Amino acid sequence: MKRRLPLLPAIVLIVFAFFGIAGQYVMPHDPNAMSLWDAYKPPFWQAEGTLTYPLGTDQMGRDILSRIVGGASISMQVGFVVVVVAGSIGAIMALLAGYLGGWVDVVIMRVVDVFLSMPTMLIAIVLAAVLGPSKNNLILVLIVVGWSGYTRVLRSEVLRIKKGEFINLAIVAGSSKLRIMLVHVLPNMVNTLIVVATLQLGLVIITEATLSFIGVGVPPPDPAWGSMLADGRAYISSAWWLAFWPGLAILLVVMSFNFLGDWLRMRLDPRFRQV
Amino acid sequence: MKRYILKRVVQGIITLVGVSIVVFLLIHLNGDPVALLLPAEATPEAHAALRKELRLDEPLYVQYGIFLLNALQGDFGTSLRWNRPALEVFAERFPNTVLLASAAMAWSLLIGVTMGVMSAVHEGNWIDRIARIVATVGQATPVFWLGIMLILLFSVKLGWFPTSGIGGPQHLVLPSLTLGLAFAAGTMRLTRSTMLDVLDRDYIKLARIKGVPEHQVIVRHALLNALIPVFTVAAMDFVVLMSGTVITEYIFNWPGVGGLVAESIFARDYSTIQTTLLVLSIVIVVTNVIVDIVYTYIDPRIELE
Amino acid sequence: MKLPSMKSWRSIAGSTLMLTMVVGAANAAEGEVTVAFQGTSWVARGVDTATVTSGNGAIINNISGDSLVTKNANAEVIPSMAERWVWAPDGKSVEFFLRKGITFQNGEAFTAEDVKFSIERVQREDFKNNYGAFELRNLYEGTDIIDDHHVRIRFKSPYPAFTDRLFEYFKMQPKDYIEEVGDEAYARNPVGAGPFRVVDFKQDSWIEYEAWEGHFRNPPKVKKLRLVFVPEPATIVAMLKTGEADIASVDPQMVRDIKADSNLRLITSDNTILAQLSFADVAPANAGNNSPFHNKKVREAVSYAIDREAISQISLQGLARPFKGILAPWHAGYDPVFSTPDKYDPARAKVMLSEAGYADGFETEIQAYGPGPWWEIAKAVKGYLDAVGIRTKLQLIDNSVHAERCHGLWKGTYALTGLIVSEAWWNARAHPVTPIHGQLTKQAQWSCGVTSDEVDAAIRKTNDIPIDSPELPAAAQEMQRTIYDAWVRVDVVAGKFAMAAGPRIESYENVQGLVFPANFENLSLKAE
Repeated sequence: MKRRLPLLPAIVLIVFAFFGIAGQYVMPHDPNAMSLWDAYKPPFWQAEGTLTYPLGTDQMGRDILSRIVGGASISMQVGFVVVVVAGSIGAIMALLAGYLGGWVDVVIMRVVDVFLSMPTMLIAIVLAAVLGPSKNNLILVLIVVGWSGYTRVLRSEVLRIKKGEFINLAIVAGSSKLRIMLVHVLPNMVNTLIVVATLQLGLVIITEATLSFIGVGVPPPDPAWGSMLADGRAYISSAWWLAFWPGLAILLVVMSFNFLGDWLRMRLDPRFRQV
Repeated sequence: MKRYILKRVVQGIITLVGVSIVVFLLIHLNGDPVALLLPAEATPEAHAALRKELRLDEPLYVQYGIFLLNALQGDFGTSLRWNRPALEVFAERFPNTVLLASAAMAWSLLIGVTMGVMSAVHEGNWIDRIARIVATVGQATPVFWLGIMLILLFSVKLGWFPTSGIGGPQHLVLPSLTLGLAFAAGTMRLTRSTMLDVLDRDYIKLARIKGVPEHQVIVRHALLNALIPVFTVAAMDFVVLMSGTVITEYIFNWPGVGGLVAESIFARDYSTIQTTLLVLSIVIVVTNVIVDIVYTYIDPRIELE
Repeated sequence: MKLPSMKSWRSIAGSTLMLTMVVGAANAAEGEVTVAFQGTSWVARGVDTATVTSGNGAIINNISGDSLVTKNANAEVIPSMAERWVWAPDGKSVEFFLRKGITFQNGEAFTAEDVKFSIERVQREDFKNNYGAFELRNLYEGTDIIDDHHVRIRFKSPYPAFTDRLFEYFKMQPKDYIEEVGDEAYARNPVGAGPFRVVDFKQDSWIEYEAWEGHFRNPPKVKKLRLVFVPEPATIVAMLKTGEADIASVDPQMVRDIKADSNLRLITSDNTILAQLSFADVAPANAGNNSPFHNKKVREAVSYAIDREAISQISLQGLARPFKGILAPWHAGYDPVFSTPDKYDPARAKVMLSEAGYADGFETEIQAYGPGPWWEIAKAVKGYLDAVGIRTKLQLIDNSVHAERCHGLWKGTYALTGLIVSEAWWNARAHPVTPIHGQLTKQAQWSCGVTSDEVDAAIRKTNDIPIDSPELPAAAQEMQRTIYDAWVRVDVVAGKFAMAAGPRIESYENVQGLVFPANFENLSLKAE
């Protein structure tokens, strides 16, 4: 199997990451600036389109290109914060459960079971509704429903690492448990963590879109791709561009993360390296 | 074996207790649940009465105990919106969700396994690539969008199936396909990798050397073996599917429990929400335990991990 | 009293004949029609019209239910199960003379006992009927049965909206039947007095009706009516396109896609609803806070900051027009001079803000309940206010949450500040006070407490003047002026109610002034 870096996905992600970081300097308009009389302008190549709004305007006369660029920042923020925090919590729990074993393992894994046994999407919706829609609450919700998945995957990884010869050597050399966990086990988990996290990023973006559809995601007028897509669904036959661009952005980014995740798995995960 | 089963059942019970704690806390997150459980224009007397009934002046763990005791007796509270037992409201709709999830699972297996096998047999060439790209597109499309697109294509453009509602089998096609496609991608990936694994085994090579026709090798020798893990994961997926129906039910106006939660949130019918979450979790836990136990019979190596 | 058309005359005469002769109608109802409605069901128990849980329940009430009065296409209250009625001079009681010889759908004779029973049953606390019944509970004193076909209904204070509410919420129900079978069985097998009878239903999903050809007033033109509740607007548009729905309720966001399809047409009616921005900080509970909205000039500035024409044409897709005022054109005291909306003039708004000491603007909140047009209005208003420096945080919440907060502010238990997007229905055309009585008086739960002493007094004074009094127009104008000067709210637009009809519908007309459809018996299908 080829292990070439998937070039196209990498470029897509770099472009959107650039939008996410420096978007405010490249966007032609304020993404939240409304101009009702300019609403529903089509993309520039269509009869009534203009280059002022290259991808057209939405139902409130806002520039769609600027909103896509601005949305990159929100999606990336939500995605990265959720994956980093949920991944860290998940990894720490896995480390404690897998390495220490015993009652710590039992307790942690029962808690993980509880979270994995609940209807995730419903819990997310209820939690978001109880907390009220805001970007921070959205991040919190996604972390709450997301961390346990990491622990389940990473715990078996810890168990595998624990059996390694170098761990025995460290024990013989008199290293403390904490030291072994941090210095020897943790670095060996990182590869798997990165693979899982990359694949999760796409999932987080999709979940964010779904919560926005129900109305418990990022509140308006902030440009989130999910709510843009959800708002655009009412105009599919009269103004397709409202839903098309955010839909395309979601598709490109999620696909790119998935391809990148697959590639990383091939590169980093030792079990796959042997195949 | 008996010990393992016993252990798994005990674990299941512990998990259920944990789930009930989380659901209980969810409703108590905002402090006073009376505001959530009563209508806006309820009188102060009604507030006081419910507060007394729920014994809200007691410490939280006592309240939880009462909640658990009631639940064990089948009392999940009264639906604010319907003014009748929340469990009854749930039970009315649950069969619809099971039906939808089952049909979706059938689609997921049909499409996922077919594509997975095609992809594995043609590993590395264009069929494999297209199949994998299609699966990735499927994973990258939000369910609500997929649902609307399917309605536009199959109902509005082609006129093959009704847009929404519940009724004959024709009503089931689009919602179950929407939900099934979302899971088909995972099934496809899994089938592909297990197929590749099996196709690499010696007995397959032997069968080929002996001149067994290729389609027989693939279907009879390889596929049947590859399907065991696929079906196991499918059983696990089934419960995920059942809780993932909320958007599909909403778009297609399918009267199931997912839609019930969406509606109940807007109506602030927290008793119904609590009941739905709790009962669904029970179903998930019980299913998982059963799958685990059944699996040890199919594949004894898994035991006592 | 104006009558709608010769056609109705004929059907009234025809059905009276039919009742006496008990024969099948010559032009029997034909065909099936499916009506799609956005949302879920509005009835708590089966199809028991006494248990509707939202304003939308008025739709269901008017399909299988009938009442003492009804409305014609111009929204005038006209006799139905009562032949006539007489208000007491003090407005605190009304006598109804019931039509003789009419029955419920099960053949049970309609008498004064049924009136008393129905008016009291709808008030039952356990029925979740929080709309019309809430108002009635506060005002109801008792019903006297004078004889089998003559009743007097008494109120604690003048209740001019009562006849409108009869039409919307208080439907006649058969006493003997309900007492015999009980509430549960009645909800499953409901019997009303309306033009359609319930054949079958699935809670939350659909209700199937059949024409009741024995209806004395107006037997339907279609044989079967199917009412389907659909939560997702995009699905409703698809249903109209495929013909699964023949006619459907329309949200502003659906208008463009409906107009883009030549098979579909919009049926609108004007003067249905009024959208305003209420200043929560005016409520007594907020007297102590330091919100800039305590300054009347700041409140006035809000009015000049918003472009009502753009909100009407773009945000609401033409389903509204710029408006200022309280009274609909048919109300006593309506004066077009008072109904000229403030001009969009952001520069003037900015000047007013700086004169008030807020040259740099300030921060506040807008709360709107929805989903639907109110969210669209709120989003646009936010854009306009941001542009003049009033930086707003948008809170889009559900109706029920809004009700809770509004009620909390009214009672002083919830700190709600800033602007609230609110609505007033113009459906009640009888008395000019009706649309605002629930909105701007201190006792009214929907006011959120947003009113002033002068406004409260002016409304109450007008409320006590009977409908036919010559003093009413002047009092209504005076009331309007008082509300203007108080600036407790800013009017935005007057909304229209829209339905979309597919190719099979020959004729259908909304009732003027109503935000719900109420005359499916008049709907007719094209010949196949």
